[in-house]
Amino acid sequence: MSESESTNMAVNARARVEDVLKAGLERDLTNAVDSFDFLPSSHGSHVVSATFEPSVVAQEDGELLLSWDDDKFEKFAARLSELQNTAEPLR
Amino acid sequence: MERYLDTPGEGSADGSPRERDGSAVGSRATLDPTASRKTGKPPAGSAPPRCPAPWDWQPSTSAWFNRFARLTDRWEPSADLKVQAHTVRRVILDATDAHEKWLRHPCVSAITFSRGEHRLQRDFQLVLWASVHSPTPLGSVTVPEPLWAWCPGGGFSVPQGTHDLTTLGAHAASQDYPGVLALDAWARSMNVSFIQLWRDVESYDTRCQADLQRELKLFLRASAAAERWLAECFRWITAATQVAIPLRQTTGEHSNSSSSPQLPGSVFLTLQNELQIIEALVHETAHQHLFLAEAEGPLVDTGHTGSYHSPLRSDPRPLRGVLLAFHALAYIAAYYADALSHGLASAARLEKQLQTTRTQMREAEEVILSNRQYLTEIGRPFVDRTIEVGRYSA
Repeated sequence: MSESESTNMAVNARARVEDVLKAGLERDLTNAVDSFDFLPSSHGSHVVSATFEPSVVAQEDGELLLSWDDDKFEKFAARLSELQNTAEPLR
Repeated sequence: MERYLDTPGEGSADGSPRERDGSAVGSRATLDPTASRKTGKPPAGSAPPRCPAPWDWQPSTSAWFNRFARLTDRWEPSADLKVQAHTVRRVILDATDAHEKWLRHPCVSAITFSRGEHRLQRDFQLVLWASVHSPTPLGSVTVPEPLWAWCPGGGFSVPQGTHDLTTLGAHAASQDYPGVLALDAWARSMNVSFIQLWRDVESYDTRCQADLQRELKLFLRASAAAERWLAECFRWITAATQVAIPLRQTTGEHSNSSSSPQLPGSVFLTLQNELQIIEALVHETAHQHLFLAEAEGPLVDTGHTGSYHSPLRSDPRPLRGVLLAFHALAYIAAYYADALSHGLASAARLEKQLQTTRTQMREAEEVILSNRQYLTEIGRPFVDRTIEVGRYSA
């Protein structure tokens, strides 16, 4: 995807967000006494292209900096990703 | 590179559900950039040197809890649930008086969110959440249709029928979760509509599941890295943010993030890479802290209708929007400064992110200071503190 296509998609996505927020979350600032709808919500879109993954996992000399509990993370991520249609019974 | 390699437990934020609110009401720390740059592990046998940092500043939660109490007084649970409404309200109000942190959470959306969608589910979630955190027995709940009981471990389906709330609460509390910041992949903690939610995928096939699984793992790794190396920053994040809701990536490498004062303690964000995830958490948590300050009153004169350039948006923004950006950028810059100190990525990468963020922050600061006359009495000291935060990364 080109940079301009990516930017256009971001702009379109933000426009959809604006619609959602205006429809539901934004309220008049003056009706602020007894609610939490006194403020517009916030939504942003931008690029953070850098990743720290390689350098966090290992130093230049290969020494591990963080012993990721990847097995535990993997299992939990797998479980969570399966919960969409799962009616896990109450035990 | 400078790192704390020998302090694995240092600074882990306490995300226990019964934790009291830890905000530093009215406290004012001096920001000293040089003092906060850790240069090695603390001497053995002595306490780590205090590192004054932007992360010490958390607006008071008192005004927020005052609003919350008034709303709780008016909340009536769905009649179909047949719960002891008075008892549940009393438990919530007692926790409100005590400024319990578990209330600044998306599970209370039945009270804080103004739209009526999924009312039964959200009322049920609130009652369940109260039963998880209160030692007071809340009696039973009647579930007229299968409902989801969300908890940080993912939750479980509750079948139609009448259930003891203490049992349900204990079951929810027993589910294991490998972190401090909860992940709500299916936006079940608050059950409100939003864009880019994973639950709205029409065809959730194995590829989608693999993508989600990979992104969830990225989040868990980012959260673990932040807790380990950016302990003060992580404490500041978890003071205001308790649940992260992943958004689907629909814009290439652009990240999206969002938060709302009606959904306290929650941030919506895409999950691209660890650096971006922490940045988005810092960004949206800054908004969560600002929302707390605004619960006391507007920071910007609500009668002022001027619009201005914001470094984070292409469209003209009201002055409050620029203030939101300035405040968030000051904290994002502080995050990159800390990341640089701890060598979370190559210095060149982090320097670039830091300089870009600082340039944007200065743009926003200039707009705010040029329009200082439109700030309220609450807004002026808030901006002064934000300027101090901005200096930290210089």
